[in-house]
Amino acid sequence: MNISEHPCIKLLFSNEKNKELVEWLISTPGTLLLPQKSTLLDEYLCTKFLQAHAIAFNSHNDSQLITYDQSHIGVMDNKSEHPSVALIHLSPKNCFSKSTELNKGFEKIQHLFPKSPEKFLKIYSPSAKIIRTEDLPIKNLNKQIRLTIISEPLWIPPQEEPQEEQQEEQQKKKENKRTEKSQSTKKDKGQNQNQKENRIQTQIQTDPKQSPRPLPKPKPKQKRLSRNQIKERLEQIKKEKITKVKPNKNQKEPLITNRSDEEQNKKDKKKEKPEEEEEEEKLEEKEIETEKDEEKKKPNEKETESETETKKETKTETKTVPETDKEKETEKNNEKTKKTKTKTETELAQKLQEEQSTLQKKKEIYSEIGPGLEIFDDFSIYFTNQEVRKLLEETDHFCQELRRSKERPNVETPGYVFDFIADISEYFPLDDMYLEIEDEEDKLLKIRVFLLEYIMRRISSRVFYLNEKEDKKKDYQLSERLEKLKFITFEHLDIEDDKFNEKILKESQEILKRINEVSTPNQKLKIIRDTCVYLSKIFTDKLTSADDFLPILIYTVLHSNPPKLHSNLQFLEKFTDPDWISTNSYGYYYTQLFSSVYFLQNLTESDLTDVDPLSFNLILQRDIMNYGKSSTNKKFSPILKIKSKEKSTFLKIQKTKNKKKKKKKNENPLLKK
Amino acid sequence: MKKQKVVLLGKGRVGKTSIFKRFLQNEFHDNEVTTIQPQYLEKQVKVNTEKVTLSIWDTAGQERFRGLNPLFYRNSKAAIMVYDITDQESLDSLEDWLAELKNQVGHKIVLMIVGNKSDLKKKRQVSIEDAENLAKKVGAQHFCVSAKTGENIDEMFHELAKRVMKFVKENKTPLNTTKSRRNFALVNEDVETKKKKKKNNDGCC
Repeated sequence: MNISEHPCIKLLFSNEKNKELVEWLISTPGTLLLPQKSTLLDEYLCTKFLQAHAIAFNSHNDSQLITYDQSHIGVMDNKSEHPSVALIHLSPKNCFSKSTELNKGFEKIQHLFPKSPEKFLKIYSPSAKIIRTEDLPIKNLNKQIRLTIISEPLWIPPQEEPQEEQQEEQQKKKENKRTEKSQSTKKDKGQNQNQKENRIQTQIQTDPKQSPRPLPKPKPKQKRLSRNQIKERLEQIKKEKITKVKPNKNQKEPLITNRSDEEQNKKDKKKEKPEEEEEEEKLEEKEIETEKDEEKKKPNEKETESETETKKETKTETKTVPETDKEKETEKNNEKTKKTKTKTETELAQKLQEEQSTLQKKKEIYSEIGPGLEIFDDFSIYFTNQEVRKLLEETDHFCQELRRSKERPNVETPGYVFDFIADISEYFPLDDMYLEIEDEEDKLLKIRVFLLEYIMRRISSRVFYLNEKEDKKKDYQLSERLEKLKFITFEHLDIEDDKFNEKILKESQEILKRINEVSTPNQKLKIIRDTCVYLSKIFTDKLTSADDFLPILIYTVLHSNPPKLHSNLQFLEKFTDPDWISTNSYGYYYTQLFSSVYFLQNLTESDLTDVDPLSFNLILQRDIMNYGKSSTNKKFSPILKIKSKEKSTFLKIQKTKNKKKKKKKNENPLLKK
Repeated sequence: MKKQKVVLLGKGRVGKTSIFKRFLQNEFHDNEVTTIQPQYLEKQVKVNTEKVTLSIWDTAGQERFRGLNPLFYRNSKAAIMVYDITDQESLDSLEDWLAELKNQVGHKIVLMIVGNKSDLKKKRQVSIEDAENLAKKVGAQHFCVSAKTGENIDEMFHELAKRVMKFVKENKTPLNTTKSRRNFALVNEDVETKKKKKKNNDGCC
């Protein structure tokens, strides 16, 4: 199949505005298009892409599906001669419902979460180059389309696969429901393009704000489900499990031994592990290759003995490379399953050790990003479990309900979310999960923490403000108050040592400001802890007393004065698990921050040393007077200091406004009289 | 068994943090430190055959920060109240603290009253009887320790772990039910209303 005939590319480029881009793409073979931003077009493309790749998966068991955050899906194919990587932007619903369909063909799914596509590619496909549409040598580019192009060969599915037919059928069904356009593009192959272009254009241009889903399941627009309704749904799933799981087991038995018993389950894991490793090793191979490249630049290419620990690790890994090469050959002959079974235990033990080392590496990557991701890592093993999958789909459904419902998030929303988590967590197959933990409550807590993070990744932007007007008002009041209190010095807080490293003080203020750059509660908690831990470097001791620390933190919060501080604290207060947060360091530093803000909120002159009560009140009062004038115009921020010129123009504007108001006011009293 | 939260309370400069440090330094083979942050410590303690992880929260003891302590009480299973045996005032202030704690948490908490600086016996101001009477009154256990020499520190934490374990088993509450969530929200509202009141006052100025 020619790339230009690929249905999704065709659809994209049926728009005349993109013609130049198409031509460029076709003239440079081996490119992949990756949507950068969520638009209607992107989502439409994604489903198309995914369907294409689904077929690829079905024919190749060793391809990997990698999601690297909640809205992107990565597809990687190791087995083909030219490894291909695709990052696809998805709505979460698509991500899961589609991947379950994919699940028929392959068993291994790894969930890894590098920060950006760039980082992702560095790890998994170092040879790929990222080109952004902005950098392309094309003049008239439709600005609505923002794609990342990766110079890697596109995986084009083999055409005559039995499963392809199924997929196509599904595709057709969905397309019928969806739009006329996709049908017509398929049938007419490029004829009458102009008409279609117009249609698509209009679709793109009119709709992006509403962002309709490409796969609209015909659901009536409901209000939120009540708790009982959710429970009913869960019960249904449970019944389905009982009826459906049993025949599945019989089908699976010839391939993989029965999964229900714990012991056998463990054995299964051992059998599966080598396979997983092969994949991991392949990843490693790539890493090693890059490292080798770097080493080549240096003199003494080969036999510079490993000096650092990291080099040692790579060496042990390189030893395993010949083994995997052998395996690859055997895989080609479809003897993979037999080989893995005949492997000796010592080899298994070796591989286990290596696996642990790779896991450590991964965890190092995660630790940069945030606590939520560790939770995901622990849990990701269970994504392949059918029951867990169904429950997660249900969770997706729940999130979507919440995001779509016309009802605005309110004070009851957290309770609603926590009720859901409490209900659904009981349906998880606890006996098969977290085998290393004995206590059932601990398991439950782990699952709940995971679920909360899972849900918050999908809804946190929607539920950040539970009462937007009120919260914004309080944010404003708080930052105003902090601005007033900035006269506070170390002496006022009885901080004895004033020879502190100013750099650390200022930098930790900057770290705290980053709290608005991240969205989920766990990420915010991480920022808070980072701030506090960094700030503690000010003291020479490793362990420092809270007696010394809290005043410094208060000082930092005061001078950092991050925007939306009140709302952020409220958000964390409402959407964190109380059991989890009260037993770890994230919770501790969050409480420290909360208490320091609380202190600043309720501060009186008696709380500060050497402060004259009169002058203290005067400062607060004077500021209020000054702000009092400007506060008539609500949009104007009182914190900004107005330069004299600006002030005069500002006053003029106000005067004209006041005149208008006065006129109206003059009319009203007359009427009243 | 899941982690259990322990709060360290006491007047400023009474030696809370040094107790905390000493506990970290006395490492037995069985006890492994799980996490250390500059003001936060998690440590596993073995009681007979079972293990408990204590998550210890240090608090600021200065008078001006007293109003903030209730924020730290939430969900804590135990409180270590520290006083200085050379400072009568530090024991007296504990009584206020206790009243406040009971007000917030009720009786459902394991209490330890710990007299620090037992190496300075000559400068002793607080009589052991006083301290033990107070402990009896509130159902706490009294210990005299020295963070400087390490006397009694491990015994104290071991006893604490034992009592926390017993306590948790007796008062097993279902995890994160909606009920606990609601209680939690109430505490929140208190803070909120206080803030509101404060703001209203500001407005009046």
